[in-house]
Amino acid sequence: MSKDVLRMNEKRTFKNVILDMGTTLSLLIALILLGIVWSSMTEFFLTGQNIMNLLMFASVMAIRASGLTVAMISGGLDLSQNATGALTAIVCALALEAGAPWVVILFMVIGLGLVLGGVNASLVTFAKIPAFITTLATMLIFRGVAWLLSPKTIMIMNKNLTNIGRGRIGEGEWAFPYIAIIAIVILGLTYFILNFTAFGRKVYMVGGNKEASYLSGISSNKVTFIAFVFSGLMGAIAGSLLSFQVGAALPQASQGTEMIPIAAVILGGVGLSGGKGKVSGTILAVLIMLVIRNGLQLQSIPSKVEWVVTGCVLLVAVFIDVIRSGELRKK
Amino acid sequence: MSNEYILQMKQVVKQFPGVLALDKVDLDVKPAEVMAIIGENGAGKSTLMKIISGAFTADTGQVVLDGQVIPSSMKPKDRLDIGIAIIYQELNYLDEMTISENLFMGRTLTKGPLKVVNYKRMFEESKKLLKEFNMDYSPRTLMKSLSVAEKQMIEILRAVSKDVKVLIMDEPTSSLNEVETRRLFEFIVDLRAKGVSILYISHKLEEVFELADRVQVMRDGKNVGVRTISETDTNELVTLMVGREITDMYPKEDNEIGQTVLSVKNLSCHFAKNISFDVRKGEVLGLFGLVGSGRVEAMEGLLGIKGIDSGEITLEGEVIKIRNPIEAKGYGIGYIPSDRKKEGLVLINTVRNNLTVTVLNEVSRGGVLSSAKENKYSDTWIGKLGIKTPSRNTEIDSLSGGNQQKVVIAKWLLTNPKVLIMNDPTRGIDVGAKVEIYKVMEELCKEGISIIMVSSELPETMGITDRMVVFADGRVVAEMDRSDYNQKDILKLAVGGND
Repeated sequence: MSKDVLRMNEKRTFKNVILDMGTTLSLLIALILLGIVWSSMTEFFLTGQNIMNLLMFASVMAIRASGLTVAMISGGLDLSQNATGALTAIVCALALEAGAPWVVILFMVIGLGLVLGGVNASLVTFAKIPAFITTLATMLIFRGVAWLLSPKTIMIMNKNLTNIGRGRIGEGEWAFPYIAIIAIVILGLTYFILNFTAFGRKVYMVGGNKEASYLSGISSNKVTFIAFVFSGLMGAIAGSLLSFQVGAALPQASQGTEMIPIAAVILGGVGLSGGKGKVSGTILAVLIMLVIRNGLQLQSIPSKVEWVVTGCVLLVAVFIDVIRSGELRKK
Repeated sequence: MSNEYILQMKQVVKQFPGVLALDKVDLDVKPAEVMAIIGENGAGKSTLMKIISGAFTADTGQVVLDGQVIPSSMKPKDRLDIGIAIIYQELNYLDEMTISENLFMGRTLTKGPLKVVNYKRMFEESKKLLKEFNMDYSPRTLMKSLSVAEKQMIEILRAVSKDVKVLIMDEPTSSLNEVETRRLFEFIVDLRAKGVSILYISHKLEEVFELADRVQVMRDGKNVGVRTISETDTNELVTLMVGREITDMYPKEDNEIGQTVLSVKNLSCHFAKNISFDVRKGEVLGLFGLVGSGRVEAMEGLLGIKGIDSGEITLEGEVIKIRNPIEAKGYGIGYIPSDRKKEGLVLINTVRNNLTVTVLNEVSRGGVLSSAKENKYSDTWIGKLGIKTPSRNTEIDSLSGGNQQKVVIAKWLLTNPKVLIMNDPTRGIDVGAKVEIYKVMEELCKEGISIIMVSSELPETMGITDRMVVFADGRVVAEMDRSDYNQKDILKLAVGGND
């Protein structure tokens, strides 16, 4: 809680707004500092081409992260998102090969996302298997099924689909990617759901204290279920958009980077225990992580250094939170 | 030569950011006496205790044990070695380990250069200790198979086994039933007879009168009086604690009681069998019984928290089925759980969001929340119940226990309930705040709400209810009107007559 408490009829001052921002503000400052550092080191950083490229990458991760934000605020966790995306992309690519029209493919993405998310949701809600274990298992299962369906890369030739993945509005270096628009819409929707709907409030309450919410007459199972379906849906959308972008569906797509969006969501201020966090934090954290990667790439630093840096950033960020909470003074 | 006092505190001051927790506090404890420390939450009792145990360091002042000043930097572990032990409210034990391992926690006996655990000696020594205090358990018993009270006694034994001079106990009976409390008291008396001084922190006055030799009252970080138990009475102590006179602990009035609202017939749930009772409009019905008597099971069955095996519930003449708390809410039955923090509130959220959690459908249209409505609803109830909070957007964790409890009650009042079920509604809150909760209950009855109060505290149940149903052994053993209340009889019924 901020020390400057607002009294009943007080107006919010600028100071209150700043204090309320908390984590968001630190992230914003970090992002700006990063931007300054990178642009002073290389002139390529602040070019339209680079920024738009960055947005394209950021979009896929932001879509995953928005699903995770909801699931994690509700007290859950989803490790299976990337596998869900890979499986969805493979099935869609096979359907495309078999002659399905591109519009049908779009509906298939949504349908598969709901079904695969629904599998996680059912296991967590009804079979009461902890979310970590459930999604660890389905991560392996979905990934395995994707390999079984097609061990080989399937090309996606449909112009409409690849256009969604890599197309841009307008001309020139500042042309805006379609996929970024999709990401913005999804993030906006997630923000709206979490902040302005009864369901969003329930997500926070159930994540904060499931038992108390249930005893207050909230159907906590329903909330958990929907949160996991949403996360699965976002995994499917992100995975298939990625395959449209690359122009190919690979069974091993995004394998090994399952934890990256989770790291972003945690960096953004959503705890592992649920009940708190903001979409704004998630957006900033995704951008920070991708700007770090982008800057290192522009410096021609080996790509896996990015992981080292990201890991360090995550530790430092969470440690700052620990210091702030006063946990260090306790034993 | 022995000192007159085994433990003394001299002019101890402890300042926390924003609060003076202890303001030049003195304390004298004689050898082999039970010294009670009472005071409301926030009076400084725990700070005082933690300074003695070494968990906190005093800013100024001294703690003296047997004539020797204890250096303020001395760690709790070292203080234990010189004879100061503390039993916290939250017990500290390992469920999956044996009694013996728990007794020797932190100083496991070993043998040989490899420091192999010497189980044999640990068992033998444990056995001796258990025997000395008439506890009939094998030291190999797993801790988890003991009751809370027994675990607590093991914990006390652990302290005692180290030649303790002063034993500090922080509200040791908060999770014990009447029978277990008796057992603990015998144990404490036994310890005193063996020469141990006990610093007994509590806010239950009945216990203090029963157990203590002397009592020190704390208020706002100050010592406001030391009394010898035989020379004081409840009124004096309460007045000292609260700082103003509380004339009436239980503000019970003669309310008009109407028709039966809810009736439970032959309900069986878990080990509660064939439970029947009615509650009428505007009355407080008490469900009293010891821990494990079935009162909680009956309540959980009624609310649909646990499935019922059989039974019929009638609400305003209509037979209803309640399968979960969501349906209970739909029928106008609200539930105020005993564990506010675990079951009542989302601590990391705001006062407002905790208030409106029961009425999210009413404060939203088409699933979209109306912030204006939420604010209006919460401000209304913050005002009506006098909830002390800096703002509706304050995180609820920072409120006092009494105010938190008012939020739990208010969130149900928002639903316009017909029946409120309150499980131990004043657990762990101040005397002053308790009286306020009782007043709220009284007010609600006047407005025609029926209250079912489930409790294991007899004085409170007798003080605030109009009628009482007594549980023992999973059954209802008696039902009586307020005019027939008699503490002895009720207790006898509750322990099942086989005492």
